[in-house]
Amino acid sequence: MLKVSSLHVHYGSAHVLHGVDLEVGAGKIVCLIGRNGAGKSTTLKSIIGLVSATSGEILFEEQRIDTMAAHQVARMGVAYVPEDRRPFGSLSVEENIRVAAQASPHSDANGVSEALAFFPVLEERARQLAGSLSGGEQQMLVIARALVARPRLILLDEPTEGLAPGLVRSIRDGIMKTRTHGLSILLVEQNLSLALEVGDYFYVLSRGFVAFEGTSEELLAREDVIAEHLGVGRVKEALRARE
Amino acid sequence: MFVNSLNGIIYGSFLALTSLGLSLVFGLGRVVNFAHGVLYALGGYFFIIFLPSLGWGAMVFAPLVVVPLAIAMEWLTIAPIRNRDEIYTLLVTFGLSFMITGAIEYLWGTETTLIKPPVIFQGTVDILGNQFPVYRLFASALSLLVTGLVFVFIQFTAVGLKIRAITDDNEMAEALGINTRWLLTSIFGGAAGFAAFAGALGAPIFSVEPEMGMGIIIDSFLAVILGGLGHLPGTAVGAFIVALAKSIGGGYIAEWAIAVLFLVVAAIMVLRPRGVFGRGRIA
Repeated sequence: MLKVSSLHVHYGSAHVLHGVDLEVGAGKIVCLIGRNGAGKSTTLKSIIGLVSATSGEILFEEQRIDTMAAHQVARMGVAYVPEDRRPFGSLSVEENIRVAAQASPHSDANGVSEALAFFPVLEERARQLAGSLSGGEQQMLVIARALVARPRLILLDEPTEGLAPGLVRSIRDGIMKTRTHGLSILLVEQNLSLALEVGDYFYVLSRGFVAFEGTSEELLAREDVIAEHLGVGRVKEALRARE
Repeated sequence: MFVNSLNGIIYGSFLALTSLGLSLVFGLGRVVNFAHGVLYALGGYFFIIFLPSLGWGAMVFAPLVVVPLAIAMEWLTIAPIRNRDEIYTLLVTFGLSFMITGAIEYLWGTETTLIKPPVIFQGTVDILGNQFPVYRLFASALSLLVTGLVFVFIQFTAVGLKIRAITDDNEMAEALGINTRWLLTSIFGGAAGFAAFAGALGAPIFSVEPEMGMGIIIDSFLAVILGGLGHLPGTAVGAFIVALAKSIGGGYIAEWAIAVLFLVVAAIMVLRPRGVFGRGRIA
């Protein structure tokens, strides 16, 4: 459904992505992992179209999207949840979701109430300004805002960053729930054990290129890859996950 | 005092209309549109040009001519540099405003034109012993009504919701499927239309002359700053503060009117750097 081929991206004179290749199959959760600055967020931004590729090709459902404006990519059925969440702070929770529903050609009349119900806390806070929500609630809001567009692919950038363990579980449950909707997810996640728990396939990104790709078993078998590209501390986390 | 205040309120209602557009364009696209004032002036000029043939329908027709001109201006000069710092659009629109003022002087001369209000609005009414021109009250009420309609539109319609989302986070709105480029151009055109309408509506009160845009743009910027950048209700309140400071201050010490105005603005900005409601952006 999504195919990225030899994607190169420059920020000014800095060469950030050096030919990234990756694929996301229908209904799959694919994880993009790697250290800070490896190019994970840039990869997501270039897929949605907020960053333009210098060269390479991005295909979504057999159509080239790397030449499209972000709003056109979004309307094709790609949703983007950025790392820094970015709810519309001066809009209410309900308005945040409604504006996304109105911008999407795939949403329908029940969309807004279904999206609010996806995380029950959002229903309670529907009339509250999004800027006044806690970090965890904002994260749930932006996931719901992405879902209301009824996308076929969600680009999810570090949804659990800085959240308390209870909230991490809510977000994880949310991600698992989308599986039943047949959605594909490209997930950037620093929390390796969470990634291993939900992911079907893994790409390890390092300094702008794909250093490793494989299933969770294949990744767990490569302590060297984990140590080199994710950090020595992550090896223990991976070993725990293997047990 | 009373007459000055009333005049202030009348000027404030015009200023609310012009500064609202300025605030919208800034809030959405981070465009500091210095040329907003000349669009107001063009409204006045097209109004007096069309008045002989169209009668008072010119008041509606003048903005309709200014809107496509403004959209062309946005496409040709602002859109290409939209992703740069605000200073670039400020410089470009600053230059444009001088060019358009020059064009007005070249085409239509430098003299001041004052036209009479329509017959049904001529005459005065007695307000607490003061004779007040009917047209001033009518024009003020109409611009307040239009300002109110803009608020209703932004607060309660689907397009208004998109506008508010873009004001919060342009890039995120785009990533959700909103064609921000198209909306920014439309808002620019709409804001120009309201400025031109204010210019036409104000022609029988403030007269029409080439420099009229320069005066209103400074006051409008002050209103936008007082209201907190990008905060619309604050902008409307700011417009009335500016207008009242100017007319009441000017009533007592005419030559110091501008000084009084800037003192009031500076004092408010020291106390409330994020605008009267404390909700606007600092930059």
